Amino acid sequence: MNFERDSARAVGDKKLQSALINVTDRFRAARKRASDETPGWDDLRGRAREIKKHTIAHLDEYLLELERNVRKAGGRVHWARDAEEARNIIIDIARRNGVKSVVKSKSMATEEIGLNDGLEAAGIRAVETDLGEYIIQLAGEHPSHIIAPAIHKTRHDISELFAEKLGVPYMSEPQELTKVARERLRGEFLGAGMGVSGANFGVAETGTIVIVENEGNARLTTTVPPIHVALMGIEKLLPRFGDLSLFLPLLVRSATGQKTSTYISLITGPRRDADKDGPREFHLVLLDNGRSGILADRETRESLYCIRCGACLNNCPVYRKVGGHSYGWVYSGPIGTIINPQLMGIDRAPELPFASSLCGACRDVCPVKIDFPKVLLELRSKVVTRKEKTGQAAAIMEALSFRFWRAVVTHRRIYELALRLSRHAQRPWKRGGVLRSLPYPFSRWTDERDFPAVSETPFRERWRKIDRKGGPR
Amino acid sequence: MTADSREEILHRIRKGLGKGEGGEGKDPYPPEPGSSSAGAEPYGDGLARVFEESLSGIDTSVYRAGRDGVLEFVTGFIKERGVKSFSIWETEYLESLGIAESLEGGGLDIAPAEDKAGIAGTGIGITEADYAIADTGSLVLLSAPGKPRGVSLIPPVHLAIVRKENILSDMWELFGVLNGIYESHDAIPACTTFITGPSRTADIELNLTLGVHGPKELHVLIVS
Repeated sequence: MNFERDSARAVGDKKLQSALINVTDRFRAARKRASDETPGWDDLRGRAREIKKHTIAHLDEYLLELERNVRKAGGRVHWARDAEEARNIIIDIARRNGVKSVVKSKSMATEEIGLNDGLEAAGIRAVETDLGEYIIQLAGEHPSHIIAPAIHKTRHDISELFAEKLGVPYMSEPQELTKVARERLRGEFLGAGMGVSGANFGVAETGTIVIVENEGNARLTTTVPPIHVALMGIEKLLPRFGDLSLFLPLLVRSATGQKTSTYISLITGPRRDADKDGPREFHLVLLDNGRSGILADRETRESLYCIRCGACLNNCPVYRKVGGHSYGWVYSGPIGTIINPQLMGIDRAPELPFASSLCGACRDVCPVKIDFPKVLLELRSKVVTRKEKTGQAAAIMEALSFRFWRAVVTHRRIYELALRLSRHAQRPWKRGGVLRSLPYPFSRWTDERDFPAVSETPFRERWRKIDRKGGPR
Repeated sequence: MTADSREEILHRIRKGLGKGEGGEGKDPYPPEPGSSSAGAEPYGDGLARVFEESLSGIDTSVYRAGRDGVLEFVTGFIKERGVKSFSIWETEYLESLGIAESLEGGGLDIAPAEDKAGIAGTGIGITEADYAIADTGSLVLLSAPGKPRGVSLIPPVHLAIVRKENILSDMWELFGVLNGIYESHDAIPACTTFITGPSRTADIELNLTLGVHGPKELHVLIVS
């Protein structure tokens, strides 16, 4: 991954910039309205946080309870330590049943394990059925937003894509394009041997998995094919069935600002013997893939409370400029900056904890009140300590600069002297109160933004004059 | 393979949490606040009206009828659309109204629930919602042998019949009721579905489009 390079590219992409502002503004306004209209919103968030905290502190016990109850309902439970094992479990189920083609509903966890590529490599066709995901899959790309995966594409892009890949005439109305996708995907649903979904929640008490959506493709995925496999991160657990009455409104209102989504499916095992439809087999795959490693650090453990609503993306000043693809992995925005480094290993995503202004807008909208700035600082400190230990020149340089800075600002006379010197030294570069471009190493700052110039008359001197005149004290 | 993975994941979790292998004494589940539905006053007699208002905000048509008027309504509704076949739930209530017989008598075909392609070819699916939620305009459907999931999902039009006494005020009340029913594990259906409005997407430039995968039209008949 290369956040610096990819984000620079994104910022220069005019089409992407307008799409990002458009979608994030819409979602932000809708979330704001929905949360304002919900009585006691803040208390509900507090309660949700308590429940998540409790669940994660007893994760082993609740996972065992979930497993027991899924089995009681006639389902099967698989445990996957990492992405490869999860892929193999799902491919195995497909192979044992002679499945040639799989329909998928939207799931970040399946993106995380690279399931589509794994299935294709095993000779099994995988078709994304969420409209946005279908578009992305046809284009051979990755989602750029948790809730709206294809926001970076215009109707014109999609028309051309459909014309090229599906052999339909060019049409630019979203209604027409949607109809084409509906007809194509109907055939896929009826012909698929297996449906793969994610899970928004898993309820330990009843062995129920919950899927929230608007299109109905997740309902088709979990109803029409004879086998249903759900992939769920181990942190998506809730202890009690009744917890859903709190978490469902929190999730939907934070995500899209709807009062509730069009469809919510609460799935408990496969079809019952006398039922006339629904899958004959239900498999739940529990995915660890680095999650258990996050537990050990008490300071960052709350990263596992996330319910993947996407509100932090829409409200993040950084995400709103750089978009989802800059984060280099499936999760983007503030949640990506904290969980990508922890799931992938901090050495593989050391830039991400720094891709934040620490403004805290994410924390303020998070439905489970994750303290993003705190977690980010913790991760930053880990990155820096590691760099210093491995003796990286830039890290040592940075540490020295900060030590120098501390020496200057904690000694008054040195500080005043430094200010006076800077006032003169800055003159060749000063343009209207700011420094536009400085020589190396300061160019590292001024290449991307201006640096405020030191004032000709510092406040300290002005204050002395005010004080002498007997001005305000 | 899987058995080892299970043990290993549980071991990693316990290690991460700083616990012994047996799992130690649980600290209690966070205590319930006084009432979860803060500010959600019971709507009383106005429940059906609130439900109606919620539905009209989400592209859903609402109708009212007395028990005696249901059959006439449904027959008229279907005639108006000129469909040749339909699928319908076999609940005690719908059977007591004689809807299926009457429509078949009128020359329409019923698609059996086992036949997905058959249901896909029908013009309309008719269900009876087990519950409705006034606050959100949601229908709640519990799957069962006579109540297949495809009927509310696969045809382009879904007509749901809601008995007025099954309208609840909000999601908190609904989960209270479901919790009561699901106390015995055997009573939990394979699928509990919440439906709020017709199928929708905004994946292309945030343009709202109805009927992307599920029904394009949702019609609700409230029976008092």
